[in-house]
Amino acid sequence: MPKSLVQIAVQTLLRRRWHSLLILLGVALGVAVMVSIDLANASASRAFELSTEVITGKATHQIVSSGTAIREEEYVRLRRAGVLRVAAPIVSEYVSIPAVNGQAFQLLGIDPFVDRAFRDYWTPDSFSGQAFYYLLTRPGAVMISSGLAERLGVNTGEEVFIEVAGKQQSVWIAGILMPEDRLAARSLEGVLLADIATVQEISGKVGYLDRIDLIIPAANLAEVEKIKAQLPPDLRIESVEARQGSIRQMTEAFQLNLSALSLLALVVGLFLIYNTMTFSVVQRRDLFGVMRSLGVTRRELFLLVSGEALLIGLIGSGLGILLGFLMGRNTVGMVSQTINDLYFTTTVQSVGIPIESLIKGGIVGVLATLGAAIPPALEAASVEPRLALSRSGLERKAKSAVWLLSGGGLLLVSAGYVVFQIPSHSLLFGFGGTFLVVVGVALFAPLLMKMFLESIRPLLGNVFGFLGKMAPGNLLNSLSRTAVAVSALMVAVAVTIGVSLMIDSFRFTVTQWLEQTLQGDVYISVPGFNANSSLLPIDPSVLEQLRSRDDIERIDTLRATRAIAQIGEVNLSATDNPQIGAERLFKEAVGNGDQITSAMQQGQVIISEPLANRTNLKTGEVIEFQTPRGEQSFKIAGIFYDYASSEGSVLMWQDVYRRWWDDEAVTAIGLRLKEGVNPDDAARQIQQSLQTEQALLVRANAALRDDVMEVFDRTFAITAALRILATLVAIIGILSTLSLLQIEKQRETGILKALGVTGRELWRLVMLETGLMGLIAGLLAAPTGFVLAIILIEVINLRSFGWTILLSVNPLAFLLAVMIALGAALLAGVLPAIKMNRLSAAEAIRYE
Amino acid sequence: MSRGKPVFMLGLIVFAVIIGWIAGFRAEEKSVAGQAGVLDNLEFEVEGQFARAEAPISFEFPKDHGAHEDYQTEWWYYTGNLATEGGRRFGYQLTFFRRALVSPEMRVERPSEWGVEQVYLAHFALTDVQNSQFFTSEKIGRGAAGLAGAVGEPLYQVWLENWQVRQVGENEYLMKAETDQVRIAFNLRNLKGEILQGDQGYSRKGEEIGNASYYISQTRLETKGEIYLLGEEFQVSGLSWMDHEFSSSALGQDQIGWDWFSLQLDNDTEIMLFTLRNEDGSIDRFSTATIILPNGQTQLFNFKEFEVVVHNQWTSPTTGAVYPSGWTIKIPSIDLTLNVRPLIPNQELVVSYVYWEGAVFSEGNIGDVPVRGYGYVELTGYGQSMRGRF
Repeated sequence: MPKSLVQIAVQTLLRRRWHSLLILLGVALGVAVMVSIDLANASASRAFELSTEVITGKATHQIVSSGTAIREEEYVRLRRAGVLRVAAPIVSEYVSIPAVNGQAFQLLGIDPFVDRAFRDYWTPDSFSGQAFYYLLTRPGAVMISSGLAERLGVNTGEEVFIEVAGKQQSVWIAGILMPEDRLAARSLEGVLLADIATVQEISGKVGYLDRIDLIIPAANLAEVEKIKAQLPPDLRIESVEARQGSIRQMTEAFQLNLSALSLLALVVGLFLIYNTMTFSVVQRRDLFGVMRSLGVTRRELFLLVSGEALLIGLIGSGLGILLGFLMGRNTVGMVSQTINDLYFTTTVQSVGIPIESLIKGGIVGVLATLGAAIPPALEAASVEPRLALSRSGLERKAKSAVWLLSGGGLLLVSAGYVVFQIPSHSLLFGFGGTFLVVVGVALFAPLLMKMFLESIRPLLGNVFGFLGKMAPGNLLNSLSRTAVAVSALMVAVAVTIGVSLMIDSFRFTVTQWLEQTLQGDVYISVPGFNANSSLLPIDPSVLEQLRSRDDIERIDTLRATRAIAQIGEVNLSATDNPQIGAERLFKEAVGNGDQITSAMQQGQVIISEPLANRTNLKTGEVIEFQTPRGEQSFKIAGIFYDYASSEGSVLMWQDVYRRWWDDEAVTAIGLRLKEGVNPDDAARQIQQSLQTEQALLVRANAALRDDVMEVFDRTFAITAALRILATLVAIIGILSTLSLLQIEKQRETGILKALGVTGRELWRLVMLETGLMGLIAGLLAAPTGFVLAIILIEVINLRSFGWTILLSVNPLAFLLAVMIALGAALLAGVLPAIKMNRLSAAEAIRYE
Repeated sequence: MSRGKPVFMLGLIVFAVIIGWIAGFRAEEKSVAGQAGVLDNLEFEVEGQFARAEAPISFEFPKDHGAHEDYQTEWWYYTGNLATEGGRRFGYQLTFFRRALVSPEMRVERPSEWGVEQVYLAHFALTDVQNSQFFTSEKIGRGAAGLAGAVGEPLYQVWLENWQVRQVGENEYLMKAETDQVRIAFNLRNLKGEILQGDQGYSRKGEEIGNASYYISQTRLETKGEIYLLGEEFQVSGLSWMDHEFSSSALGQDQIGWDWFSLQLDNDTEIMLFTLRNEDGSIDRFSTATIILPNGQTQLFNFKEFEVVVHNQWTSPTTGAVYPSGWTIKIPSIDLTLNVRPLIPNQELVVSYVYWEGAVFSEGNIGDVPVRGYGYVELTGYGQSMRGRF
């Protein structure tokens, strides 16, 4: 582009400072939202990788138990048989350290004699001989990374208090690990490394191993078979990838949802860029005409407009990255919290800034801005070298385009509908369809706006006089820009409505489900690190103590654990609640509640809806488990609604479980109190009177419900934040469009003033115009939002999490949406109105 | 004879340890007084004292073939020379070392079986004479949870994971060890009973009281079995030798290593001979030669009564260490002259520590009787000092 044109571009942007600033803000916000979410996602993934890396190390395979743990003799037997070549036994436990707000750490028990092949921290300089000696020989000795030592403020030889399965214990710092590798250092920050003997003793797993890590080269698969042949029925060997895959899938769905929402902010921003660039082209048609006759080519004009867009894109994206980075601090925390709540315990706190996220945000921001500027740039290039067409000509063109656009909109919506019909669990299809529908509806906006304005014009004329007629007229005459602004606002508000409706419905559904499921009065469990369920066994003496109380009517116990099925590792719960069949809501089942209970007592299981969706298992089919007593098939008696995990779970009758798993442990206890006993008082009283070293959570029904809902709200906090941001972008869009619109009309305004229109009347005119835009956007947004909510519930949610959500429509959501649109629009009118009033008539007319 | 009352050393015993194994670091330096944290063996202090070998004690077998955990160091050394029917020769070494990490007084009862008090290390080497190849490998593990150990009752057994020697009957043993390249499975039969070295099994190694070890041998083990080498199987037979030794501090201040010979002659006698080398190059006065007579009785010769002349040297291409490689042993009082030469020169083990341990052939005469036989020679302290290690 010739230098003079660059100057023109820069000057144009500078001259319209406010206007430029607004577009920049729009681009910046769009990019910022994307960057911050991407940062959060990337950090969460990295935290997951690091958390597992230090734990699985270089292992390619693992031997795990289909029961609760591996008997240590099995490992010794395999070792002595010479079957294991490169192998490391592991005992691990999550512990928390009260000194750092109870944060979760991995207490990793290893055998230092064989572990070196697996984990990177065994570098010669990373520990001293004495530290190593103590680690091996001294009970309770641990090694921690220098980073963690600093955080805890401890030195070698000092004690640290930890909590294991609710019990207070202490460990002794044998030494400080100083890994040279930065990433290794990071991943070690969530780890207390100890000898296997120490971890067995602290975690109460004396005699047991959690797993055996193996390194088996890909070329050596015969070794896997050789090991398999030596394993007892309750042990199995599997690849590490297979084990981690399922968790990864779960979090990916969650992260994709966030990414899609963050892209939405950018889409809204694009409307805005398109709108503003179009506007500035239209405004300069005369200028472009003159330039063309002075010999400036079409190509140069195209480049001029694109250049402006590029400049905006660059600066806006730069600002966006900065802003996104700042916002990232919060989003990273929120996303990690949710992932911790729902999927896995990360022990890695900070993972540093993934630079890729920033670069990605920048590139997408610039490209999107450029892309949105292409139509206006083409428009500019099409100007003939004679005096440019008057805008009225363009507007006439725009009016005929209205029908074309609507046709396109119809096409997109239909395409979206077709996409939804594709029988796939892919979220990409889901979001693709959603975007098609949203953009499609947005294309309808000009036509609907035109129809609305034309029909309301007489009515407004009656109410507001000539101003009432003039406002819709003005909007209609500048439909090419006003319609885009309305579309942008409509999309933002529709998304707000859609997401609100979805969350409200979801919340409502979960509340209903809790009501149905939590029939007990008081619940007892061991505090764990995942919000939804604890897999830590309760001290058996607790049950004894409870049995001797006279205020308890009935005690139900639950054993929650992880089990290995043919479909992978799943959550398995074993209950002895005789009313289980009646206390769950079933999507499908073999019969009524009692029949389901008795089917379970005879060895059948029920599975939760997300699991059924994920695995396509149906009632009457079987699920195969690897039990310590060998493989066993369990018939599925029904599919119940369950919102405790998106991974899903299997519910089994406790006696059946105990028979196959030889496991008497109990992880949750539900109490039904006698008539007239207050659950809160009982919970408090039980908490105080229990004689156990284990810190147990004793919660009354209501308190448990509150806790669950707190997790729920925490999960959606980021979604709520996102929709607010999208709306903010849209408001900025409206603001910039309107101010431009009004500034463009300065001359008209001057004439109006000269004709004796008062300042008050001018205010009213501006407010009428912007108010109408807001109203239209709001009215269009309401049905669109509703459709969006249905899509989110029926398509996106079902595909991501497999939950059935009952649609619960709160009319207030619609009203609120229209109010937001109206409010945003009116707010956007304030600045131009003030500005216009300040201008003297003469000044305004002279503007040309 | 009553078991010697152990005198405990006071204070802290400082040593650089075997734990170099664990991390797999190789010590190249001559001195053990390396600094902690640099790339050498990890150094640490062990609190408390260990039992010391200070006087002869009485042994009971097979019980005393098991571990003596109150002593700091113990080893079970198997070497042997075997051949196929066609005369293809192999030498093998399978050694188990035990090292106590916690002194008896510091030991506590632990709920977990995995608590470490003892560490086991094992070396396995095979000499393929025909192809001049030498295969070595090393294993380490805790002497806990059944992963490694040595017991004497009801029958003797020493093992580290899948490497093991197990007594299966009176004087009958099974031996198994394998690596990716080599696997052995032997039946051993003890032909001469238990040979108590030194003074009824009490073998002095230095001036200071307690610088000694208890030393039991099985000097003639008839051996039969299979060797799998790089996919090939060989039926072999021959003789093996076992040494079982335990102590807490064998080497004295100035001693840097030893040359040790075990020779099995064709007149049904064996010779065990070691020279302890001092830092100044001299031979320590506790160096000893022993002849084991056909009836199992031993005849001892002190350092003045025998002579070992080195007439060849070999420089390791791996470590640069220079080892003697060819000797003449003389015991003038019985008119014994034996020439000893390695079956192949390179039988250096470069594992956690560096030493040479190899199959040898010897030939000569005692008086007028010509004798020949095979055996093993161990050379330590050439690649690095052994003091503080054993």
